[in-house]
Parts: sequence; structure tokens; C-alpha cells
Amino acid sequence: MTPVQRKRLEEVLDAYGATTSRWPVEELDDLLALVGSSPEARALMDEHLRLDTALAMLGEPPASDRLADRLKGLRPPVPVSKVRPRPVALVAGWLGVDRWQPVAAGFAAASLLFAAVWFSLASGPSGLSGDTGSVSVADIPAIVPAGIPAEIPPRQTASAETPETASDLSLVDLPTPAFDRIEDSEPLITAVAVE
Amino acid sequence: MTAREDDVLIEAASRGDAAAWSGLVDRHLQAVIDFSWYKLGDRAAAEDIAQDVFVRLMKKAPNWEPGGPTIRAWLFRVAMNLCIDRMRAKPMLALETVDYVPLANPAPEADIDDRIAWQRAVRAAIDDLPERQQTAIVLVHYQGLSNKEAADLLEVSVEALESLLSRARRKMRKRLDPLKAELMEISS
Repeated sequence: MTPVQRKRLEEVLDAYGATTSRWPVEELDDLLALVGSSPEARALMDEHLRLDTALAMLGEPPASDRLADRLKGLRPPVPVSKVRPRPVALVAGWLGVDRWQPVAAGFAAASLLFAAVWFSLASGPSGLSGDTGSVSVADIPAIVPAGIPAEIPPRQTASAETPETASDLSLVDLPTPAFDRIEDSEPLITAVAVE
Repeated sequence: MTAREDDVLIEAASRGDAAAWSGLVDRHLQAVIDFSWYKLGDRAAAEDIAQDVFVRLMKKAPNWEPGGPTIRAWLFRVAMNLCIDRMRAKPMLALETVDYVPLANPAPEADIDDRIAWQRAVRAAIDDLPERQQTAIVLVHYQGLSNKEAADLLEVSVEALESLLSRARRKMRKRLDPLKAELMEISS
């Protein structure tokens, strides 16, 4: 064993001890060859082996299954940027797009465009047209109390046609209902003379 | 167990993959407990620290950048800092309270009292080391890290690591030498 080899072996033993699995990998072969060929090197190793034995007596802490189970129950927080709104995520999935933000932006733009087109079509070119649709006064059933003849000639009717304006609409005059006042009618209970 | 596999697991875990997260716990929890236990000598404290370390990893997961420090190195570094904080905040444990751990292969004739006395002596020798020397011993002797891994973790060169280890072992040998004869009897 040369002085240089001895010096390096002592350095390695001082630092890593006599357990060769801790020795630097890149020097391992040379050092093992040295120990195998030199009784002096083996004696140096034996000195350090005692401390390794002492250190090994500390043992190892037992495993903690309960802690492992607790930790496995935790879930890393999913960052907001990785959360896809469901419908958008679905469409993004159909399109094979990994990033959902562009799909969401497309949705928003398409919705705005659709709303704009719909409003312009609904309002028409001249605003209110006066078209009241198919509903006319004639279609509205008159509320006629019972006992009144069904055929009551209207005092005035607007026309046979559907009235065009609100001024053409007139209420049908109905005769006063032929309800008798209760004091003018026959008594409801007839007195019976008792002999 | 490769760093690349860890990167894949943590990326999946950050997307809510429970199996990937469990895989990370299985791969690294015991090493973090061991490291903290060797540093502190107290199982409950070691478990507290290990839990804290993994909660931090869980929070870190969505922002984990692959290709940087390995997950194991990150875990050890966080555990190391938490152990230092704890040692500063709390006085060292009395030796009587240090855990006794049965050895895996005790000699049948060994006296249990002698073993407890030895464990306490070794524990005391480790506790008395300066912090960085202690961490170097724990990483290389007990955790089995290579010299390069341990040097990276301590942010020193391999030569500086060897210096830390040499000084630590010299101190421990000096302290334990008087008990050497007993040790050789027990371990024979």
C-alpha cells in the first residue's frame, strides 16, 4: 500500500466507515482491491468497523401504517386553471382540445352573436306594426248573466270586420238585468192561518 | 425508483389521481419518518414532521416543476428544516425518554439492559453533534444516500461532505471508545 493509497483509504474510512456500500462508487473497485491485498488496510478497516457496529445499534424506527393511511386520504388541491366547467369540458373533449379556455371563449362569442341576430329579427324593420294578431273583441265571450236572452241586438257594433283601432272598440250595451227586488216579489214564506 | 417516475406520479396526483398520491406516500413516507427519527430520537415528533412534510408536498404538487430537484431531495430538505426548527423550539429530549428500538437480529445472549444503554449512548453521541455534521451522518450512514446526493442536499461539495462526516465520526468515536469493549462483547 503506497502512502497515497493509505491516505485516501483513511479519508474514506474516516468519512464513510468500514461499510463498503457507503464508499464512493467511483473509487470502490480500487479500494476493495487494496483491502483485499493489504493486511494493513484490513487492520484500518477493523478499527472503523467498531464504530459502524455502534451506530447500527440505534436500530430503525418502525413503520407507521396509520400515518400512511391518513396521508393517503389527503388530496392535492386542483388549481383553478385545471378545473374545466363541465359543459365546456365536454365539448373540449369532443373536439379533442386539451385547453378549455379557447372553447369557452368561442362559446361566449357565439352566444353573443346569436342574441344579437335574434333581437334584430324579432324587432322588425319598422318597430311596432299594430298587428294585434288574430285576437279580436268578437272573439271575447261576453259575460251574460243567466236569464238574459241569448239574442240581444247590440246597440252599436263597430263593424262586421275586426276593429282596426282601439277607438273602434265599443262595449256592447246590455239591458239591465231583470232581477226583481226582493221586497217586491212574493214573500218567500207564506203565513199560514191557524184556526 | 426513479426521479422520473416520481415526476409522473406527482403530476397525476396534482390532477386528483388518488392512486398516484398513495404511490408517492408509499415510496417516500418511511424514509422521511426515518430521517426525522434519526435526527430527533422521538417517534411522535418524527411522525409529526413527516405529516407536515407530506402536507406541504400535497400543496406543492400542482406547481411541481419536473426536472428540478428530486422529490426525495425536496422531502429531505423540508424535513431537515422542520427538524432544525423543532430542535430550536424544544429542548433536547431527556435520554430516558428516547425510544428504544429492538434490533432486527439481536444476539440471543445479549442483555436487553446493555442494549438500551448502548442505544442511549449512541443517541447522545448523535445529539451532541453540530447540526450539519449530524445531518451528514444521518443521510449517509442511516439513510444510505450516496455522497453526491447528500452533498447536493446539504448544498456542499463532496469534499466538504467528507469533511463533515470525518469530524462527526471522530467525535462519536471519541465519545463511544470507552464503551467499546462492552460493545464488542454485546455484538459478538
